[in-house]
Amino acid sequence: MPTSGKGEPLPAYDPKAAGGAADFFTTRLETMVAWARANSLWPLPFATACCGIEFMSVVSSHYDLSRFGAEVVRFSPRQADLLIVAGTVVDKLGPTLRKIYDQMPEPKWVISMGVCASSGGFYRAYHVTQGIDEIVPVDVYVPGCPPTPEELMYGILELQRKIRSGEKSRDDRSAAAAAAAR
Amino acid sequence: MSSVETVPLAPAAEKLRERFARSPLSERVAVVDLDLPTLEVAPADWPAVARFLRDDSECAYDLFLDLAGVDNAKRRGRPTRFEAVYHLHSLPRSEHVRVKVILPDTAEPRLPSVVDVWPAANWFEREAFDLYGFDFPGHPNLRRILVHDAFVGHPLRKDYSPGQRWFFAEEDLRMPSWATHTEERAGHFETQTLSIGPSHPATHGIVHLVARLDGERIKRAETQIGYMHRCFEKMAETHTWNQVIPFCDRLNYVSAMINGVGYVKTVEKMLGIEVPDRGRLVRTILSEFSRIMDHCVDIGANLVDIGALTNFWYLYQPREGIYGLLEACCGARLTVSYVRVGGLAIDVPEDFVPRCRALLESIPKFLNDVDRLVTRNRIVRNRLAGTGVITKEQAIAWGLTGPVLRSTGVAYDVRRSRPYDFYDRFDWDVPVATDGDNYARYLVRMEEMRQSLSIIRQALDVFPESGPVSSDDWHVVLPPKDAVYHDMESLIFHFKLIMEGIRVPAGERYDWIEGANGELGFYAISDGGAGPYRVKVRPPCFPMMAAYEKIIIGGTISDAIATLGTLNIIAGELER
Amino acid sequence: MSGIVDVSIKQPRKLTFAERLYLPEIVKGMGVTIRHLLRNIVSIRNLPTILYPEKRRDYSDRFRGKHILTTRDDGTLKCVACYMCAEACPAECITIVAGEHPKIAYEKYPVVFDIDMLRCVFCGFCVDACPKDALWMTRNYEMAFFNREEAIFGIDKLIAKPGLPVKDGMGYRPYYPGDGTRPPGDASSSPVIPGDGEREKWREKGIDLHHTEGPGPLNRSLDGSGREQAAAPQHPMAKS
Repeated sequence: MPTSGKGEPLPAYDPKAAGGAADFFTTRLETMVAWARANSLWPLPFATACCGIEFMSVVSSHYDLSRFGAEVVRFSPRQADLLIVAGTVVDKLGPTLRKIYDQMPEPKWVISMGVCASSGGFYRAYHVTQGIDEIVPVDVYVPGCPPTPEELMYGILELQRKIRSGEKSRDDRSAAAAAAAR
Repeated sequence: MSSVETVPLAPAAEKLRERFARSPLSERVAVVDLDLPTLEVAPADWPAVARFLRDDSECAYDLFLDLAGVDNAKRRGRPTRFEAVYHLHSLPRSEHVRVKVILPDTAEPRLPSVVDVWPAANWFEREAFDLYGFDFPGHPNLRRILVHDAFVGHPLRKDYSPGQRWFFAEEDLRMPSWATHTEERAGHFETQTLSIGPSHPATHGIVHLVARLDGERIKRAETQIGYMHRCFEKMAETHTWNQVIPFCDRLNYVSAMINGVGYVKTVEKMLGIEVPDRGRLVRTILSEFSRIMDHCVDIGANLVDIGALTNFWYLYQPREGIYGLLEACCGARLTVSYVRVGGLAIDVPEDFVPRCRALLESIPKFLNDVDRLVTRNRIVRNRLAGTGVITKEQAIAWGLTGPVLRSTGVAYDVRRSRPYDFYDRFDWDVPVATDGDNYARYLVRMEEMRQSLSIIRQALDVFPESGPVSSDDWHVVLPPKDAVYHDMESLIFHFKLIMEGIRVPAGERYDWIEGANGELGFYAISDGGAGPYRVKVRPPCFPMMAAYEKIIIGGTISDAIATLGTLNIIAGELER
Repeated sequence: MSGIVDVSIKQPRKLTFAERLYLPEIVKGMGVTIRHLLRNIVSIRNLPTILYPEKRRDYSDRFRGKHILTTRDDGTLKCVACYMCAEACPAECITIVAGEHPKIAYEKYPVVFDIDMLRCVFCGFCVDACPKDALWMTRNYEMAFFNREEAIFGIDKLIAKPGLPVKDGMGYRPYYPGDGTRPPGDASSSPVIPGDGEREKWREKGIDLHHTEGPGPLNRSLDGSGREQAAAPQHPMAKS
């Protein structure tokens, strides 16, 4: 494969060289799957604190998350693919959060809602986890204390955009990286 | 403050001193007069004094409110390093008292447990053990409660670094000792241990319930908390007086305004400054709206738990309206940070009164809808009536306050028994019920929302159109901005306030208001420095959660879920 | 001051025969929900649902969103790096490094002014603390980050672009439109940033500051100009 340098003409498109119709079909399929995944997120609200109250606003009538196909709030990790960590996570809760995350089927995504979950917020304290990325990989951080419902929805939209673009969840990446290191 | 003894005592303290002079304990108790009558006792005498305080007809301190440990390592004027400060209330006489147990300087501070005098002391003593390392001989279950089990040291001691964390793994989690081994057979059923939580849809926040079931009935239960302990009290010690306000908002985040008002009221009393009427009225109005929000969430979430989802949407609509009002006043929906020591951050918007009136009109519609759906509905009745019953005596012994206490027939409401702001001038009723079950708590909360609406209506009638909302004491309140930009003196005040913080005179104060869940107390100590030396919150949820494991005994798990909902446990306030 | 009301007396414990039959109560309850349904169908415009991102909730002009550093007429920062906001911040999320200003009149200016958006709790204390009218808040809440480094906003992201509208309009600040106490002089030069009073003016130019309707994040392409691409995501545990 020639690298497309300056002044060098790109080769004409040759379906046979590119893998033919099958390749075309699988690429389309991947797009389709990504599209379907993005528009049918099943969130698990890991709501611990103030952000949980705002999460309730997001799912109630004023904001209505079902418009984005994400209204099926599941409290069982086995039925969810989006973990929304809403609220402060303290050290005592860390193992629980990890356990819940591990139980979720792949592919899975994590939104860290609010500054407490994202970085510990203004609790630079002896019992507060300084960001849940110590425990689970995070795909989207949403700032705010707590974020307004729109802000969380914006975060979910960003995540959908990310999924639609075919970018893998953080967790896949880390698994691949670990495999490569081995 | 130690030289207070020379000044004549206030009548309440004088009466207490006389009472003790006639008792066999006269030699062993010192009565001093701070903001409250204060007793100082040695640890050995404490159980006898406690019994006397509870049983003597002229004392009758039957309601245990709070236990705060204090570390005097960096504070001058106190005889020993540690003291345990108790706050008690007498329901028949409507008076508070403070008892300080002075712990001698030994390697391990120790004082006798008073769980057998006031059962409510149970969890408070565990908390003092956890955060200060006080040993309570005679305590039935003295182990860590807020921080995790792999923690080393006692975080609220002054020599503990605020940011020092300890690694915690799942193996470190300690279950109650009785839960780890299987138990005797009861009849032909085998008992089983069920662990609900920490993350469970019905636990409203993060609570861990370990229950032993005999068939369907709960035989024994223990709640584990600490999954949301975010160190409010340590954070308060490392910030200035005003910077604590955003932390306060996140105590009971469902009704954030009330916490802030309670905190600044305490500090204002320590400073001795007055807030203009208009500012106090705004606080009252927004506090009552917050109370409505709190009850809306509580009832809505509780009904979801027992299967009535629609009410949740109906109750969330008034909430969004109130959010809109709060946001128009201060710029945030939930965590308002609106109050400041000495007043408010900013004047209310021009359309404040019409906005409030519009809300007053719309909220009852939704309440009526819920009323119609729920109150006379037999399914709801069957779920709520007769479950989670608390008797009057139990409620007092367990230190419950607020709607839960009132649902058992005790008409203790801080707004009535010790009116602050303008509550004594408004015409409103304290709702009580007699049954003390889940249904009674639901009814009390519904009525309380209507009473709050009535209070707001009366407050709006007398609301002055213009006027200051904050004190003009520039040692406490930031000067107006145009003065800061153009006037050197104001700039200096501004600079000193920001860089040094408010200087609160050394001393201590316990002040209390009616939070959405009950008596919300703030015990603040100042050493004259830039920030609080110690702030202890008296969280109304804490004794409720402690009582929960006793309330649910004999019921089924589904009743336990309904009970947890009507108690309204807010994790931020429970564990701070 | 008034009395005590016993709600259990107001609400008799015993259910009537009709109530015990379940059905009439269920029909009554259905009546309530169906009334809501019909009302929503008939007046579909008054639905409580806000169709974000196509439509926005109209937040007040006190909304505490993303910060903005205001500028003088010549486009330089008003900030004099006095550290008061950093001192007032309960989250300690503001980092300032002061430098000598080339113009002698302004003395100091911030070489670095960073706000960690994932620490900030949006309490507004920094705005209250600023003695130079240099730090305001906007109504912009649309923030989401793919990693934590991205969330540290420097001067380039915080500075108000003179002559350009502020996204979503201004939020929490010391003065509001219609405030008669606005002082003359230095502070008054802030209106280069259009506030609410200038909404109409900008609308005439075809820019809607509040864009209650318009392209939202949905309609933006991933590689579009609206937002820079996220840096390649790094697993936090992979770092070590």
